Formats: sequence, C-alpha cells, structure tokens
Amino acid sequence: MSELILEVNDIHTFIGQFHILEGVSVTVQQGGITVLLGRNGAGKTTTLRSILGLANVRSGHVQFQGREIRGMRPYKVAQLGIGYVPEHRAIFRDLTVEENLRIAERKPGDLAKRREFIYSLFPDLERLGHLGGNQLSGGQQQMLSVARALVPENQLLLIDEPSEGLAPVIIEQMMEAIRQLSVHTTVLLVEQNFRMASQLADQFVIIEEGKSVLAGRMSELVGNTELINRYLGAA
Amino acid sequence: MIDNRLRRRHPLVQTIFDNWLYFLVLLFLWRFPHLVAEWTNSEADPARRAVGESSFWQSVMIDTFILAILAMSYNLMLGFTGLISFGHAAFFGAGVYVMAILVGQFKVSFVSALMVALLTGTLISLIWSIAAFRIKGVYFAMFTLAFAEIFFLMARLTMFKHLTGGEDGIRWTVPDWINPVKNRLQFYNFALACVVITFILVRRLMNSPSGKVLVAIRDNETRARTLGFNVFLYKTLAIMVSGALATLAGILHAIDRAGAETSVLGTERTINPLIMSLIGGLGTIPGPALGAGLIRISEQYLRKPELQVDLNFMIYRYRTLLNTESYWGLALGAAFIIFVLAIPYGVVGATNNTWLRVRRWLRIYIYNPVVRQNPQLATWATPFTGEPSEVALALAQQPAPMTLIEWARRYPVALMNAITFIVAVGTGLLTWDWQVGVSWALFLILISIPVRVVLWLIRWPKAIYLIGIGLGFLVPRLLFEDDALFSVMVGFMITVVNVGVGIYIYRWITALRRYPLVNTWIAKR
Amino acid sequence: MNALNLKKISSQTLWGGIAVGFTILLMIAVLLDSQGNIKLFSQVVAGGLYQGMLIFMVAAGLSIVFGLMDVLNFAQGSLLMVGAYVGFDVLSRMSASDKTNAFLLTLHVMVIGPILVLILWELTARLILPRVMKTVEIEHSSLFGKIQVVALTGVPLGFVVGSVWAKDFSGESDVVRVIFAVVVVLIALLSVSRNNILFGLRWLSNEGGIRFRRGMALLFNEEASPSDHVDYDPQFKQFDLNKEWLPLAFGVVVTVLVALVLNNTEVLMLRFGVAAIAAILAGSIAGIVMEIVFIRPTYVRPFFQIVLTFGLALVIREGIEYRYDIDPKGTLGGYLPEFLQGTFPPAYLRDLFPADFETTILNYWIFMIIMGLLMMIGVQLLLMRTRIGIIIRAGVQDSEMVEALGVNVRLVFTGVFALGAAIAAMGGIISAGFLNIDTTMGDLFLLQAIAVVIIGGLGSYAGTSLTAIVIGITRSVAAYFSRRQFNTDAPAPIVVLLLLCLVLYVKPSGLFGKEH
Repeated sequence: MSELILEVNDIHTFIGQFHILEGVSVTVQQGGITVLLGRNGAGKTTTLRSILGLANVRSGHVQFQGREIRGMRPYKVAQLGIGYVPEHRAIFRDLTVEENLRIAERKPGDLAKRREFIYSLFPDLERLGHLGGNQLSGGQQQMLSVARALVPENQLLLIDEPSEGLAPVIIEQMMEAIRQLSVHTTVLLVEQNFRMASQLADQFVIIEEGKSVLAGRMSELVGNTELINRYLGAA
Repeated sequence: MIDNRLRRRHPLVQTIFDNWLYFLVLLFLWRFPHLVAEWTNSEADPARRAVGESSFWQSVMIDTFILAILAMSYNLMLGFTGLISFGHAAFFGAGVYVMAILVGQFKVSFVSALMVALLTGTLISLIWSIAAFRIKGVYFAMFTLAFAEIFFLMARLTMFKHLTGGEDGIRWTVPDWINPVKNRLQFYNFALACVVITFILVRRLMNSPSGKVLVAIRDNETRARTLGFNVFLYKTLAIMVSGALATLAGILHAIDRAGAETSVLGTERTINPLIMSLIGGLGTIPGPALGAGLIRISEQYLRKPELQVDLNFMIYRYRTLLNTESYWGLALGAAFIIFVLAIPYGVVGATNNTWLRVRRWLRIYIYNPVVRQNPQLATWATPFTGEPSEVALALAQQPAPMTLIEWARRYPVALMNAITFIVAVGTGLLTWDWQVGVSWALFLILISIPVRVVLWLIRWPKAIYLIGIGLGFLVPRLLFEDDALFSVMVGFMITVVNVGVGIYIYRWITALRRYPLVNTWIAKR
Repeated sequence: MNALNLKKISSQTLWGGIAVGFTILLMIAVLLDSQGNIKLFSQVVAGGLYQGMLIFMVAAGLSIVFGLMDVLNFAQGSLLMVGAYVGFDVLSRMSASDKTNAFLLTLHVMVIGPILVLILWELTARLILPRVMKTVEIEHSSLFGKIQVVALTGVPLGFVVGSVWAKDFSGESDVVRVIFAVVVVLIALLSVSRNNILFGLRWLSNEGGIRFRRGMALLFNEEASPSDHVDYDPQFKQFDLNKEWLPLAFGVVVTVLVALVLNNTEVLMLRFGVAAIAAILAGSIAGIVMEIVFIRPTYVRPFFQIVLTFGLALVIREGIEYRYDIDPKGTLGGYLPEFLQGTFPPAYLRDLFPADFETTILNYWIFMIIMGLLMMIGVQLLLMRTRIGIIIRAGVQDSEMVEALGVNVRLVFTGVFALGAAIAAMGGIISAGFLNIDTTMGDLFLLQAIAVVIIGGLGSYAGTSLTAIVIGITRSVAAYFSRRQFNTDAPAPIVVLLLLCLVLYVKPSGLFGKEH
C-alpha cells in the first residue's frame, strides 16, 4: 500500500443555504489516478472545490500530505502543491496563451523549467503561444487549461471533466497526456465518460446525492455491470 | 381551534387593536402643539405672529414630517424595490421649484400649481422608469446621480436667472390658509395629514400582492421575471409612487420656506433620506419615518455651537462645553457607516431581531422551567402570550440546547450587555431618575472595556497589528507635536516594537488554536 | 484591451472611430467659429486636454477597481480631495528655513535614491550583464525582494548623505536620527544576508514552536501532532549579494550623485515634490484602509457596498471640513517652482520658437497634460507588460480561478485599490496647483469621472483613457461656445452629464464595455 497523499474525511459543504455534500470521504494514494464517478449534480465538482477551499466546508477533515487544509485560503492550498483544472476549461480569454501559462508561475523560472515537458505533452501550444485565449478551439483551450496546472511543481492535480464537449480524437490525445503526466504527479479526476475513466484510473470513488457510497479498485468496477447501472446509469 | 377561543371584533376595533402603537403616536402628534403650549405656557395658535415655544416646536415637527415623507419615498425605491437612487433630490427639487416658479413668477393659482408640480414629479419618474428598463444596478444609480446633478447645475445657471433666480433663489407668497407664518397650526395639521396618508399608502402598497412582487424583484430580479411578472411595470409603479411622494415632500418644503433655493437640488437632499432610512431601517415600513424623527430631533438638541454637557452624574462637579456644530456632520457620517457595516437593517430591524432573541432566551431559560414546575401558569399566561396552554406545555417539555452556565460561557458579551441593561433600567426605575440609569450603564460599560478588548482580540488576533500601528501614529503625535521628523522616527520605532510583540502574541494564540488538544483543554475548563 | 474577436474588434473600432471623429468635429467647429484663430484654438484644445487628464486621474482608479472587484467607488473623488488637502497642509506647514531645506533634501534622497537604484539594477541585470558576460541564464531575484533590499539600503544611505551634505548634523534630535539610521541599516543588512541570519531565526522559531507544542502534548499525555514539521524552501532565494553586488554598487553611487544634484536645486521644487509624495502616500493609505475596513466586509452584500462608498464620500468630506474648516484654501499656485509658472513657451525655451510666438497656454497646463499622459502610459504598461498586470487582467475575468492558481487575490485587490487611490491623490495635488481647493472639488471631479468611465465602458481601461480625452475636449469646447453665447462657462459640465445620460440610454454598458 502506498502512502496517502490526500485524505478527505466526511466533509459537509454548503453553497449558500443548500447542503450540497452530506458526508464525502475520498482517499487518494500517492501516484496514479483516482477518479470520482457519479451522476450529474451528485457533488463531484463541489468535492474538488471543497478540497481547494473554494467552497464553504462546514465540518469534516481535509488532509493533504498529513496536514489539515480545511479552512485555509485557496491560494495557500494551491501553494502547497495542488493544481486545479476546472470544468468548462476556465482559461483567461483576454490573455494570450503565453500569459495564461505565465500567470500560473508560483516563483520566477517555473515556466522555463517545465516548458519542454508541457510542449511534449501538447505540441499544439508551442505554435499558439502568441494567440489570445478567445481564439483557441475547445480542445486547445482544454489543453491550455491542463498545461496551466503543470507549470508549477504540483504534487496533486485536480482535473474536472477533461473530456467534456471534445471531439473523440482530442479525447484520445487528452487521455494520453493525462496518462503521461500521472507518471510524475498524482491525479484526482472527475469524469462522466466512463470508458475514458475506466481506461485511465486505478482507483475510483462513487458519489451519489452528496455522499460517497463506494470506493475501490477500478478493475473491480469494470466488470460489474450491476454496480455501474445502479450508480452511473447506462455507461 | 384557536379561532373559536378568540372573539370576533368589529373591523374598526380590530384595526385599532392591531395598530394601537401607531394610533397612540398619531394621537400624540395631533395633540403635540397643544401639549407643548400647555407645558411651556405658550399658545399653540397665536393670533398675530408665530412666536413662542409651541410655534417653534411646530416648525421643527413640520421639518421632520417633510423629511419623513422623503425618507419613506426613498425607502420605497431602495429598501423595497432594490433600485438604488442617488438622485432623489431631482423629485424634491422639482416640487420646490415648480411651486415657486409657477406661483411666484407666473402668478398661477396655488392648487393648479400643486397639480402641475405633482405632474412634473410623475413625468420625471416616467423618464427614470424608462431608464430602469435598460439600465441596471450601479449604472442606474449613476444615471440618477447625473440626472439630479444636471438639474442642480441648471438651477445655478445665470442664464435662467429670470426663471430660477440663479444662486439667490426665489421668494413667493403662500396662501393664507396654509401659510406657515400666519397660520402655522393649520400647516402643521396639513403636513401631519400628508405624513399619515403617505404612511397608509406605503403600507397598503407593501401589504398588497404588488408590494410582494416588488420585494421579490429586490431579492432576485431574474427569478421574479421567470415567474412571469412584468418587472418593468412593477418597477415603474415603485418609481412613480416614490417620485410622487418625494415631489409632495418638495411641495411641502416650498410652502414651509416660502421659496426655493438651489440647495434643495443638491446631493444633501439625497444623502439625508438615505441616512434616515438606513438608520431607521431599510425595507421596513415605519423605519424611515422613525429615522427622520430621530435625526431631526436629535439635531435640534445636539447641533449647537456651544452645548453644555453636564457630567455631574458621572463625575462629581464636571461640566464642559462642546462645539457639537463641527462634530455633527462627522458623527452622522460615522453613524451611517457603522449602521451599514454592523446594523444594516436599522433601528427597527435590530430591535425586531434583538426582541426575537430575547424572547427566545426568556422562553428557554425562564418561561419553560417555570411552566414545567407549575402547569397551571400556562393557562393563566395565554392572554399575554397568545398561545393555548396545550401548546405552551408541549413546548415547555423541550430540553434547553445548553445550560445557563454554558450559555454565559459561550456568549460572554451578551451576558455583559444584558447585565448592563438590567442594572441601568432597574436603578433608573428605582430612583426614578434617568441620569442614574445612564450613569450606571456608562459605568458598567467602562469597567468592562478591558474584558471586551481581550474577547475581541481572541476573536480577531490580527487586531494586534492595528493597535501597534495606531499607537505608532498616536503616541508621537501627542508627545512631540512640533518636531515632525522626530515624531516620525519615534512612531516608526513604536510601531516596529508593537507589531513585533503583536506578531509574537498572534503566533502564540494561533499555535494554541492549531493544536486541537489545547482547544479541548480550554473548552473543558 | 487585446480583444481580438472579430465581432468585438468591429464594435470597438466603430465606437472608437465615432468618439475620435466626434472630437475632431468639435475641434473643427471651434476652428471655424474662431475664424482660424490659432491662439484661441490651441487654448481650447490644451484646456480640454488638461481637463481630460485630471478627470482621467480619478477615472483610472474607478475603472480598474470596477473591472477587478465590481465595486464602483463613489469615494474616489474624495480621495482626490484628500490628496489636494494633504498637499496643501504639507506645503503651508513647511517654512523656508535652512533646517527645513535640509530635511527636504534628505527626504528626497531617501525617496529618489532607492527608485534610481531599482531602475539601474533592473537595467543592468536585464540589458547589460547578459551581453557582457554572455551567460545563458541569469537568475533574477523577485521584484519584491529587490524593492525590499533597495528601500532598506537606499533610504538610510540617502538619509545620511542628505544630512551630511546639508550640514545639518548638529542638534539634539540628531542622536535619535543616527540611531534611527543605524537601526534601519541593520535591518537592511539583515535582509541582505537573510539566507544566513533570517534562516537561522526561522529555524529557531520553528524548532522552538515544535518543542513547545511537544511539551504541551507531553503535559496532557497525548501524542504530538504529525503536522509539526519545519517547512521552508531552501531553493527559493530572495537575494544573493555575490551575484548582484555590481548593480547595487551602481545604485549607491547614483544615490550619492542624486544627493549632489538635488543639493543645488530650487527649494520650491523640493517642497512641491515632498507635498506630492505626502499626498500620494496619504491617498494610498486611505485607499488601503478603505478597502480593508469598509469594502472587504461588504463584498457579499454588493447592494450595501454602493451605499457605503457613497456614505464614505460624505464622511471624508465632513472629516476634511472638520480638520481644515469649510473655507476654500485657494490654489497652490504660489508654491509652484518657477518653471511651472507663466505661459508657454517658458523663458529658457524661447529661443526654440519664432520671435513673435506667443500663446495663452499656461506652463502648468502642459505639466498637467504630461503628467496625465505619463500616468496613462504607465498604468497601461503595468497592465500589459508585468506579471501583476496579467493577474489583474485575469482577475477581471475570473478572480476565483486566479486564486486557485496560488495568487493571493485579496492582496491584489487591496493593492489595486491603493493604486487607484494613489493616482487620484496625485491628481488632487496636481489639480490643486491650478484649481481652488475646497470641499466640493471631489464631487465635481467624481461626476465627470463617472461620465468618463460609463461612456468608456466600465472595466475597459483603454476605453477610459480615450474617453477621458474626448470628454475633456467636449467640456472645453462646450465652455468655449457657451462663453461666446451666454458669457459664462457654467453649462459645460451639464453637457457632459447629458452625454452620459444619452450614452446610458443608447448603450447601457458603455462604448467599449462588455455586454453583461
């Protein structure tokens, strides 16, 4: 058993007055990919936001590398080494690709160090450097969004729906990229596309109606159509 | 079941029964000139010239009424509909100027001028509502600000001097029946009637279904629109009523002053109702009127170039002269900010809130235990509490969320405030002297200051920085006023030392907090 | 800003073209009306430009702050007033004695020294050293670290140099001054060698903290928390004296030179400079306090936030009235250095112009225009070229995401607020050299600035800059025509406000703003 990098223990999150997460527990092992599964509106994205401190967690524990991070300001959590790739690929449209990468630097020289690695994963970005964020296609935006999280040295990446609204060819490329970067970094993935999730992930956690109901090895889930139908609908 | 126990009353009686406080206030305001005349041996309605104590207080109250109407109209837009208006002076000034120009310059009859003035106000509100159709939020606020400012600048122009009188303003003669100099009591009653009509109008409107829609628009415009309400129409309604009422206030002002001056269009006429509704309570019906009364009357007492403050009841033989004239504006502004930050729903909102909490506390810690001991009390108390004995008994069985001692530990400031309040009111009533009560309150607040500061620091340890920097600014300023450079240096050093010590203490507190065991240890003690 | 979307470009160029064309039309109208009188024409245009620049100084803060934080700060005009009053206060307090002059000189070197050191440092490190030494990669320390070191070495150095040159090193309070200088130098040295000393201090405090907590745990018979570990990043260096001694030495020499040069300058200019620095400082401190104490708690209640800034404007005005009483203070014209007084061209530039050349443009107008342009370009560069600019522009779109990338957005908010306030305060002291100081000056500028920001489109900095010039010239032309027609220029602001109402009706989000 490898070491735990992230341990989310029974968190309760509120958005406004609404009780969104009613007890979610997630553990992420050092190295490899863990995937959060569940139906729309089950609370997967909110879980990621709770880890990062963007949502208001009222109770429970979030521990990153053995240190309690619940209640810390999001920028401090990020500085501990957590990268975030939000859903709908929230890149900055008014900034160029180069600037989009530069803003993610946590200390000067981060980008210079990691540039080659990023371009080896996403060769497209190298020639797009001077373009504005609003001129990119959906797939390129998603690549930029992932690349941005790779600029600083992160121990953990939270990736939210990387395949959402992309063409199949680009999904393949994205999967390859995530597989490659998971060699260096631990990844916590949220994915609706079960085929992609099952090919990538080692571990899974199923969230339903704000509660984590099932967790285990991905290989155990793949063959089990009963579980898949029950929690994820038709896969 | 409850209905059977209550006797049905005649609607009129029921109305008085429901609004007894308002009727009492109305009765008082109606008899007010005569009461003052009685107390001060002056005449409420002197035959020739309006001099004397009663007439003076009548004019103060007339001013209050005008401001109350203005504030209520302001609250209709800001508090109930969520339209931020920074240009209410436009309506007010329109009322004043149209009256003064038509009657004073063109010799139009008083009543028709009044009609035209109200019409002008409505016209302006129409323009505003068309603007509100497209312009939202902050943009609307700026539109109104610019709109009012245009009128303000125009009134001051010399090229319209034949019309507006420029910087000098206009004088005009008010008809005798309402003339505040010749017939002040009559005008007092007229203004009072206007306030009552405004109050009833606003209350009726806000209790009607349309009023509920207005509140819905304030809370969430998109939701109101998706529910199928024509938001534009409702906004128009609010702006129109508000504009007409503000114009009415302007008309009364024009009668009161028998003239028009440019200041009625200035920003002050917007800020005043804003502060009044905020201090009284935004989004409450009596709040703005209460705020207007509070501010205008306290201004009458407090805003003086030489106010003698008698602190004899606090400190033996201590009297001092204060120039409150120069503090007034600053104090009003500070009150405004404190209210926005800490008491956003004003006196009325805060009173309601506090009263609810006090009632809950009384029920949990006094009423419930007593009723549990003597169940027959629940039956006796029914007329006062309005709840049947079965309900009271059932509620009394619920256990308290925490014991009284736990409560006191958890909310020490509330405990201190409660003790202060009880002691102050108690001693005041016992000795039948309000000064004794006030002195006890001040005394208790003074001696509890160290405890309050410590509690504050435990809650916001970073306040230590503020204290350090503040000391660095204040101490050298008090000690070496003449040597700027020297005091800057001393201040720098004081700040460095204080903030350094502060950081140390802050780290201490946070270290204790971060360590969960110590926390439980603190909680256990 | 750099919106390259095709549809947007057409809309922006269209409205930009309309605005520029409108301005040119106005100028042509003046030219025709005055029958080609260049003297009148240049006066109208220059007058419009300087008014536009003054309005811009208030509008810049409004625009950036609104773009980033959705706060429309109605107290921005009051910050301009604060700048003017503080400048007036400082200027009227300083008597022209030798002692004051020495103090002024010292203060100037204290401020200018570090700035020059910083600039030279940047230039040498970025331009000269790579070419001379032909190294592939030179590590820079962070800007903040540089500023820290530069301020902490430059200030005391400037202090000592200024004191020595001004021959004012005798007197009672000088003992304290020397102690002060020594303390600051010590802090500076500590900062320079922080890798050794500060590291040791941090290690000590961490070790002490852990020991303390372990002791507490032992006391209560519990196990120590695993989270007790020292965390520091030894790779992250703030400053390395071995690498960067050369630029630092440059800077020190330059500081001494600055002191020498300043020693011979006019005292009036020194005084005006001190007043400007004080005004900017006061403005930015006021801005920081405003953001932290008043604006920050109300981010969740935007409705009250607007009302609050409106009330803050009132409080600031009342506070100023209380402090300086209500009487107008006149202009700072008397305190201006000689080269800012009189009309253009100034005496020492006469030779460059034809012999019969004369205008009615005041020198001070040109000064105001230049300062405004510098400010405009400076802020534009800050926004487009620096990392902070990138963060601000990104924050305009999605501040939450910026925070998730590890940037302390709240600090950036406060900084931007302070920047806007500082620009407004600087506008205050600059306008006070020409306009009467009284308690209503803030409100007047605020309304015009609001008109500019709205017409330019809230949140669009370039739009604000362009519109400021357009509005300034519109105002000046309106004043020109109404002076000819009605013999008064009072209707000019009315024209601007009417324009505002009109634009709001036609395009509620302004000419260059984003549609919400």
